Amino acid sequence: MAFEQDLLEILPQLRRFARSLTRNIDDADDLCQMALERALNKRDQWQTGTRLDSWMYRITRNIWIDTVRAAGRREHVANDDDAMQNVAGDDHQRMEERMELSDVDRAMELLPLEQREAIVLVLVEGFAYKEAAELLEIPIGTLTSRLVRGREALQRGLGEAA
Amino acid sequence: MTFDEETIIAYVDGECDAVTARRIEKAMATDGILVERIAREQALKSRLAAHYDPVAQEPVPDRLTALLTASMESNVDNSFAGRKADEDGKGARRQGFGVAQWGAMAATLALGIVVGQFGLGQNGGPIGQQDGALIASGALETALEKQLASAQNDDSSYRIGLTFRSRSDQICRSFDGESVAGIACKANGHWQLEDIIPGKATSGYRQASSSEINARAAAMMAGDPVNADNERKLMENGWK
Repeated sequence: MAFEQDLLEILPQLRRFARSLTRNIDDADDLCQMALERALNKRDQWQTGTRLDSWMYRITRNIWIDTVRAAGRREHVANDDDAMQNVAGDDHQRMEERMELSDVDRAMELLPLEQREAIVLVLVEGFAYKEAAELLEIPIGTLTSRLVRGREALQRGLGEAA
Repeated sequence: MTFDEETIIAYVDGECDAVTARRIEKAMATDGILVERIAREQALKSRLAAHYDPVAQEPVPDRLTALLTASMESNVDNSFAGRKADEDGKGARRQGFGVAQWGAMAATLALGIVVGQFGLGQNGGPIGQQDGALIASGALETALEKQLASAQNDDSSYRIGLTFRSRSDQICRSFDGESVAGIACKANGHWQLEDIIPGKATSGYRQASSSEINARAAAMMAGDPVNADNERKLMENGWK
């Protein structure tokens, strides 16, 4: 009971996290739904006293990584030439979706997932470096270098868009 | 003094030690470029927050909250069932089942038990067969066809749970009864059984519970479950 109640309370933040990973409202809510289902099924694995939000974020990102891999989806593009080819290769609907993206969405989309998730956990979700590194199961040094590279790329992307 | 990028962002993220933070602040008094670099990182942080924060202010879709409230309700049932099982000396504890495991179980164990107990096409039994598919029959079919979740009949052997449109555009309803529980979808004039598990009366086998049914229903749904008004309209329209 308390478990579901706690999940209800963090659901708004979880949706925000999912949206920043997927950038698409429907994909984000589908992702949240799958994460909640998995959490309910694996509730025995959650250790009482540890942060439920970290546990849920970990489940959510793992599902997203699996989804991206399974779909063979192109998660990021490395540079502008690639970006142009990617757009050219897309179907019409996806191009329209792309045009509706805000500058921030577009700049975030160009980041590799590993940089994007580091950026989101620290800058948007407010995790401390140590907590974010634990959640992503990487050393703090790796986290900070992803933050530096991610921030530089975002500044570039947003600077050009401005 | 120059600061590398890592130190600048650590300062902006509140991750600097006190000595370094003091050094940066001291340098900012005379170093306009440093001030600009820090302002730029702070602006980026504010811009991202301003972009994503409204998502956390949006109302959460019903299908997500429904998943949790349904699980809460079914866990109350489970604890009661668990206590009862303990009293009966069986002491079987509920296991957490994944949808896939649950589906596999529904296809083998549940089918074997439920069909074995009630027999295919047995007169008045809940399960029949039509063109190789299992369909609801007897009182189960009547409940699925005529019973509204918003106006449940205490005399009925079945309780109707959620009514929803599936991703394959069929109307589906979850149900729970003494002998069998599960999900049925209306197809070709019949209520085709998508998932079934043994009902309350077969408690020794009742390893999956309504929370798994609800999780399965949530996975099948396109959008949210229908409300009472739409449930009535769907019934009047033959569940199309």
